[in-house]
Amino acid sequence: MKNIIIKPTKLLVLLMFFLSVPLTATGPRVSSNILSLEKNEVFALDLPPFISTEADKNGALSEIVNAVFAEEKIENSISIIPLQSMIKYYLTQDTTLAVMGRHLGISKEDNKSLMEIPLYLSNEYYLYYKPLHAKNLEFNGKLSNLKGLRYGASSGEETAAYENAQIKVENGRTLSLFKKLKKGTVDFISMPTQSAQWILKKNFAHESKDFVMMQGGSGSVFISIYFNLKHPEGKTLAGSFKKGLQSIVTNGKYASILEKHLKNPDDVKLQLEQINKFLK
Amino acid sequence: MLQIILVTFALLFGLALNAQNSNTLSIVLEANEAPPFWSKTLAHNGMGGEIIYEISKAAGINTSIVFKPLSRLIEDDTNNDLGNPAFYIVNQDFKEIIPIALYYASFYSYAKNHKNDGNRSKDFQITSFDELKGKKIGLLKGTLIDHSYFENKGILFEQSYSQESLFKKLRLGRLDYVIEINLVAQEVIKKLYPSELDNFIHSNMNTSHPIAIMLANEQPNAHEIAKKYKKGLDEIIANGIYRKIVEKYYSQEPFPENWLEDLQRYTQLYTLQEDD
Repeated sequence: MKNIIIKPTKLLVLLMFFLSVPLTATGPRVSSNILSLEKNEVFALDLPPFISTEADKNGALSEIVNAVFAEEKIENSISIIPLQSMIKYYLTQDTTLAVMGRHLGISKEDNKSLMEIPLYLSNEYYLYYKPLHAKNLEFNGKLSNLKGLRYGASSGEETAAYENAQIKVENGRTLSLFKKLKKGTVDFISMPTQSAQWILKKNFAHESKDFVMMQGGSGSVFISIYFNLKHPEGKTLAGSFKKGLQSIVTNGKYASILEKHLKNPDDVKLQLEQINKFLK
Repeated sequence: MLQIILVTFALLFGLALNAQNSNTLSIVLEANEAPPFWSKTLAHNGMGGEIIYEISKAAGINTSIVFKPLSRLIEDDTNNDLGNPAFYIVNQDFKEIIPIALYYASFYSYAKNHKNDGNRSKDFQITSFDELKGKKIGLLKGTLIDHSYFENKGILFEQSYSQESLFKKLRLGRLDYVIEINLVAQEVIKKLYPSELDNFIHSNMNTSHPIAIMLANEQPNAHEIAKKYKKGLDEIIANGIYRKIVEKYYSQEPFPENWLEDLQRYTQLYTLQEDD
């Protein structure tokens, strides 16, 4: 008879999974919007570790946004949502003060009634799943090197460049893109380095080395907050937010929040340069 | 001769029925025990089950509900699920999400422990987080989403694996409030303290939550099935069957205000696009 031995680390991971799972899927979800309060609601698209209910203070950018509002003594709440299509819904509501995140799929038409304030410049890399690609995939700054492959794009991402390079595109959400890489339904994806590290550690701890980063960054994407100018106070609060952002950049809070979450002094330096360029 | 005609007719009729049966769509949906919304011990599997039974009847779909522990439902990212989509969509991609009902949560309090609180009457209402500062609130494990937000406001939470234990602690004064789904709380209080129903008072929360049918990406003909379910739902709302089911479970309260408007809002919110 075969002995089944579960290694202690594996057992711990399993135990953590079952302990973290809620007991019912028809149960309360206790978040900041449980009481009817007059406050300014921001809808943020999930992207760990920047925006996530699983991260400390709901992620680095959630903490920065809350700090900016607090600096201006404006009460606010952030609701973290899992689907990009929900952003589209909330943008139709003039009660929505702002939306935030990466690749929100905002149309040119919607953009006319929004004011974008960048929060973080995400430097991204392409990843692929090594066991399905014995020959390494090479990008080296040219999409033509990946011709004929399938790209897993984030929902809402602009993908014309891939289609022009004869690369097939399939959409998905952050975690599902990693699952698609592993299943082989897509060949490569683009992710912020910190998001890739977070997801691999949390969901693919025993095989994180199988997900390989290609040489040469895939590009930079701003993770921004977009104020809804259809909201009665949208324009005024966007102005206050920009002022508050300037304050927390100047007083060092912006840098200390990023440093605490991302633990990368070089990245913090780069972000400060970027945000100062925008605020000038 | 007449006998031959009758036998032939019966055979043709039987074949037609079989053909019709074989064309009936059969769908398996998975839920976890959450009475009175989902339970294999209740008629038609509870409130959600009754709604699904009627929708399926109207839609001509043969739907069966299989019960599993929630951890297994979340772990399996190829199955069709039932419940609040928020619990599943971080881990699983769905082809279709069809909200079919709602549920509400409240702050529960034990009136006798608040004798010095002038406003602890049956219709008390918590309207700001300041009222919760320094209070100890009990809730079910895994339901607290925004821990740091409440921590900053000085609100304390105690999480438990058992609804019964939460209400026992509330009565003993070891908790100031319990956050629970209204219909679930009613059942637990009725079971534990049937002679004390009036001592447990509650303040409704601001938001409703959706209960939905979630069809997996792997479900063949998911769009066609969803269309039929939606049509079935519209039909039972129009003919009054839907309202009767909900009212049966909300027998102690009036039919919740804005139910159908909220259901419509969730339908819009969960209308998935091809790139979701």
